[in-house]
Amino acid sequence: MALITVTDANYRYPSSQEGQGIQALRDINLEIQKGEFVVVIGHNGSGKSTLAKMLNGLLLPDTGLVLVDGKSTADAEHYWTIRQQVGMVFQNPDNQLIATIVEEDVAFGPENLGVPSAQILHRVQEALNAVDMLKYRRHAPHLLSGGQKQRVAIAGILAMRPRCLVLDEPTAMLDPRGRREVLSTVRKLNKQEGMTVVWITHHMDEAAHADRVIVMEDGRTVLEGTPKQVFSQIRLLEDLDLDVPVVTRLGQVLAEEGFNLPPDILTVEEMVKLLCP
Amino acid sequence: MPIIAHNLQHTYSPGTPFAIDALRNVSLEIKDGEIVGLIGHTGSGKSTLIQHFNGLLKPTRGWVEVQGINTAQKGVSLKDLRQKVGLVFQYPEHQLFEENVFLDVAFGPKNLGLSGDSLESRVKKALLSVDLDYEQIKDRSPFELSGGQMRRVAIAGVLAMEPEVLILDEPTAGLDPRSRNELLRHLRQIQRERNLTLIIVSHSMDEVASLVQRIIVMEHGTVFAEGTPREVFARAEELRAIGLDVPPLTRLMLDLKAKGLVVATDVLTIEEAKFALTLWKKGGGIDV
Amino acid sequence: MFKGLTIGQFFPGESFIHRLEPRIKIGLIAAYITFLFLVNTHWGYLALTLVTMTVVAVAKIPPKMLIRGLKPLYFIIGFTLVLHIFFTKGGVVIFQLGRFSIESYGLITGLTMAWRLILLVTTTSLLTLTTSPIALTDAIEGILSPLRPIGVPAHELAMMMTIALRFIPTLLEEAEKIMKAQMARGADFESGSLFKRAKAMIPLLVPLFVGAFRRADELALAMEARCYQGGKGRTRMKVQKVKAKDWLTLTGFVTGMVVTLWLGI
Repeated sequence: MALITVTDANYRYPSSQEGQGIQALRDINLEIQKGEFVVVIGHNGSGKSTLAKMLNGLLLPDTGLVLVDGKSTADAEHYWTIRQQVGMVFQNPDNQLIATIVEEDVAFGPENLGVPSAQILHRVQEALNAVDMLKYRRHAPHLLSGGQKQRVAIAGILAMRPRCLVLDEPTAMLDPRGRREVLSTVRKLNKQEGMTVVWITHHMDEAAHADRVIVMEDGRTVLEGTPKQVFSQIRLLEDLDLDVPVVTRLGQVLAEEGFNLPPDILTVEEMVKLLCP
Repeated sequence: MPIIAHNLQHTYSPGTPFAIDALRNVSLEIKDGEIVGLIGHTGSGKSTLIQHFNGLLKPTRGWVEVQGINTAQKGVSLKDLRQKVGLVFQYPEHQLFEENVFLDVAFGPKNLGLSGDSLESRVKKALLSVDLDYEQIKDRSPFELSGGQMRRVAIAGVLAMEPEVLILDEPTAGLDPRSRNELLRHLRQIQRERNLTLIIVSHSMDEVASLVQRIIVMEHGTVFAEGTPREVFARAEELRAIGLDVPPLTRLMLDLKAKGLVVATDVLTIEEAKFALTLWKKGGGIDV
Repeated sequence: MFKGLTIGQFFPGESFIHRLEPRIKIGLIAAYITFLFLVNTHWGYLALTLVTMTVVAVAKIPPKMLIRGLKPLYFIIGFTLVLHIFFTKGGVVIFQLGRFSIESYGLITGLTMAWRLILLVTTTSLLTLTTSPIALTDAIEGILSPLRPIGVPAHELAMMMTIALRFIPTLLEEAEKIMKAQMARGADFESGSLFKRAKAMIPLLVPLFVGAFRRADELALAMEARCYQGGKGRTRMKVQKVKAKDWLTLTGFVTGMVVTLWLGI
């Protein structure tokens, strides 16, 4: 059974809030399998953030169903269990940290869950270790870099022992160094701890190592597949005004010139290997 | 006349245990009408540097001259300086405050003493420059607009002061590819129309490479490298060593060269890459 | 630039003082302040001064930090001193010029009152210096909890205080950014009449407040995502338990002070 299943989900923002009556999701159907690293790509307004909030019940679909481990997000009984199992990290590193000291912020989640005091400290240490921030445990959050703050936010979720990590544009406000830090931390969690990851972004280059890529536009999923399958669809991606990795495009251009290159090259390293075996 | 920095040093909280040398001995010159990209990490000093150009910061040592006027001189008109050198900060939409778009964009020119018809035409012109429909948007609250629109209103607010130099700190931060490309297109147009000196601060080489004539790389408060994009990217190894990356195509050619291929490495566009690689193939490269 | 400053600055350490239970510390401060205002003999002041100095030594707080902390109060301390010197009469006349005189009683009272102020500020700041902000808000929550049945929202108050403390430096940074952005558009925050300067604050305050509300929204969502459900059923990582040594310290101090007072009177 898939960890998360979304069936025929539709959502329209009420006109009084931001979004002003916009149909954010239309007939969304998708599954997230255990241990997968799924990247959802789309523009601002494509519905990707709305979809993210559906996955842990922060938003409920107008029609359709979202099941997390078989339990419906609409079911009040499972409200908190679902949010413990599917943790969420947001875009703004600052607006997720509430405590004045790192380790106390990471403890916030377990404290809310009523975890016994003796265990919380252990969980906090474990979580900070997993994101490589243990030595900053007594630091004040406002003195950390963006990448460090996001890692602390991730630790805060890990301390709740979730099964899935949903990250809504986690690198949008970070510099390249911070982006790299966060991406490699999450990839490590996925590969080494088997954490299911749903990563929402508009940076195509962050999708290169995903298991699966879903492209959204105007509330619908318009493209789905492995990174290679998706990125090789250059024309479609260009029509959607999305960045195509420049090496992919170069590969296709060179193929037209007679080079024996596949249409789905994703990284510079790959192309170097192909041109120079 | 250009912007000149000479042996510029800036220390925050000098003389306290919190003192930080943000800029150490920076000397550079930016000529009229140039389009310059200022690249560096967070903490490299780039934000500190640009705040010297409109007098928000004064040098701890050394001097800065804008159009022949020393910014730290006694009695220098900061208002004049800030009219001449327009500075758009990161996430400029966070500074919007007025009841409607017209009033917000008018804030700058009003501070310069404009009113009535000339004020209105300035606001109109500025909003047009960022591709916003004046009649449609002038009475709306800036807080009802989309993120992209808000940013353009904020930029219009600075353009309305009719500066000769426009400095933008990470203008595309947080924008998706579509909005980013649109904004860069607008900037190119605005620079041409108004014949501005343009300084774009970024930490993405890739983004600025196609737009700028010259790149200045900052590292730890000093100028690490300077020159045309090609010249700077040729020092890719050094850039990588300080954690900055060159555009993917340049990186590709450098990696290929490292593996022994005889290829040109100062490649910026797909056309150039195609040309360089086809040449190599014809010259007897491995049968790919 | 504001990064070095923290309101209610915390000076981390592992001393006996640091490890005293926060509620006991609050109790000690309350007792100290009470005694400070009851005492009126030199022995009394001496005893209290010794107590403060011992605490500073044990907690290993650099005296320079305390002196810097007094800076904003130079005016009030000086004012108190001057006021008493020139207007409190009694005792031996030290200086006379016509009807104007400075008398010993005035000088002594002035010095004593000034010293009292210094002790008050220094000792109270020892509380925030040796107790982390979260420990303090936990302690306040703990002290207020028994009042919950009569409608005091102890947990919510503590949570509000924690979040406020956490965001003070962040908001200060943002205020600075906004100020600079508006100055770049020709705003003038420094010159002009009081009225003009008040009006000039609008371009600073509006974006700051709008930003703060946006933050609050996002923060609330993040807290919900971390299963925040209010105070019910919450546990704490650091449990505040009052131990024997804490009670002993408190009773010891109170007893000592009572004895000093009694001896003095």
